[in-house]
Amino acid sequence: MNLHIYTSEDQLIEGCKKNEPTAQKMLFDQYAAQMLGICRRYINNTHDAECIMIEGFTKTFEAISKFRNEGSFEGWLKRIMINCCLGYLRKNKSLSLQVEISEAGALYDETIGDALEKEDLLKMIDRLPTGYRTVFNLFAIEGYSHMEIAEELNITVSTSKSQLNRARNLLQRFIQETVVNKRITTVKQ
Amino acid sequence: MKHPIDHIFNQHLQQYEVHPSVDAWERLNESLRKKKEQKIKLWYSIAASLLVVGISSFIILSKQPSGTQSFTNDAAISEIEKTVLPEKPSPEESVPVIIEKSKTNTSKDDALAIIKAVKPKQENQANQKVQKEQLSEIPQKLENLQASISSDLHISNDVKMIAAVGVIPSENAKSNTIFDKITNTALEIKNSNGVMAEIRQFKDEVISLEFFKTKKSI
Repeated sequence: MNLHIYTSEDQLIEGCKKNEPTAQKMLFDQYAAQMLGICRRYINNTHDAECIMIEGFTKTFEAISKFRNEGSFEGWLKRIMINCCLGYLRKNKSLSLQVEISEAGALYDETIGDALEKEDLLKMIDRLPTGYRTVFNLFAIEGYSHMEIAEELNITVSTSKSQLNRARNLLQRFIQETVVNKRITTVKQ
Repeated sequence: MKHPIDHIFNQHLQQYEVHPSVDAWERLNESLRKKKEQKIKLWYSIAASLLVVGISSFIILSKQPSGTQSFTNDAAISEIEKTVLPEKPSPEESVPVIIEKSKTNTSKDDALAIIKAVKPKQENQANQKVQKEQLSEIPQKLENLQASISSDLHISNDVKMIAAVGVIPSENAKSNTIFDKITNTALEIKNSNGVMAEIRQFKDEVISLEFFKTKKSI
């Protein structure tokens, strides 16, 4: 058995390009949790999200010879994962986008976020309809523009904007509900 | 400026991590192995189809040379026949041809002359061999040609006999063709004792005298 020591990410990527299982395992261990976190934001159950993450890694290792070290590997890997998630949502026809436009509420308490845990926020995202969740993830967390979202999801820019506003409104309501529930629980204790 | 809701979620979930299950790597490995097998199968199928194409093309190509050879020979023969052998004339063309043949007294020598004229066109040795074979057939073909021409002209056997022996056939045996009538009239004139016969006799004598004179001078 050949033992390889990979001292940098570039060496790890080179090892993966040579289909070395050790390099593949190390790369998987390095990024799996983060990538599953991304998949989990788009798909609201962990089992399916993990399947999509495995599919994403399989595609990554197959196409890794095309990676030219021009950008960050992490960004490239994220992009593959997001595309896999969107493909899964399209395939399952759960990416139904509502065109209804509604304005978000005007008042936000910026300190409210401090009272929330990551898991609480993830649960709120999970409660969103798939279309809202996808657009919100792409815009608010990945940093896509409405134009990019429109191209990616094959929708219009105005649809993307309306989906985002709707998502924000719902999330604001969920946050308020969660904060109130937490306060009640604290008072009871 | 980022929307407050976006900011909260971005801040908390940007680096959100979920640890995969214990068997996640095994599943990934299995998935990679399956993909590898699929690739190998694809390459095998490509190699197999290439092999089939290669074998079939080899079989086709190995059969083709003999076919090509015979085709080449056929082409060469037809080319030679076009250039060397006289074409069989149609009934309409038969009269000028026979006149030309009689004038030039077409024989094997004439055929050789035709071949010599054509010969420069032949470039390789193989073609020359074929030409020689064709050449030996030419006299026979010419005879056949003349026979066919005479048959096309409807020259009766009686006329041929008159031309060959100089004997007038009986009245019953006379043919009705124009050529026969002309020939018969000519023979009647030759054998008769009239003025025409005297003229003809005189002409023959003059020709024979000229012949002897030229012979003496030579």
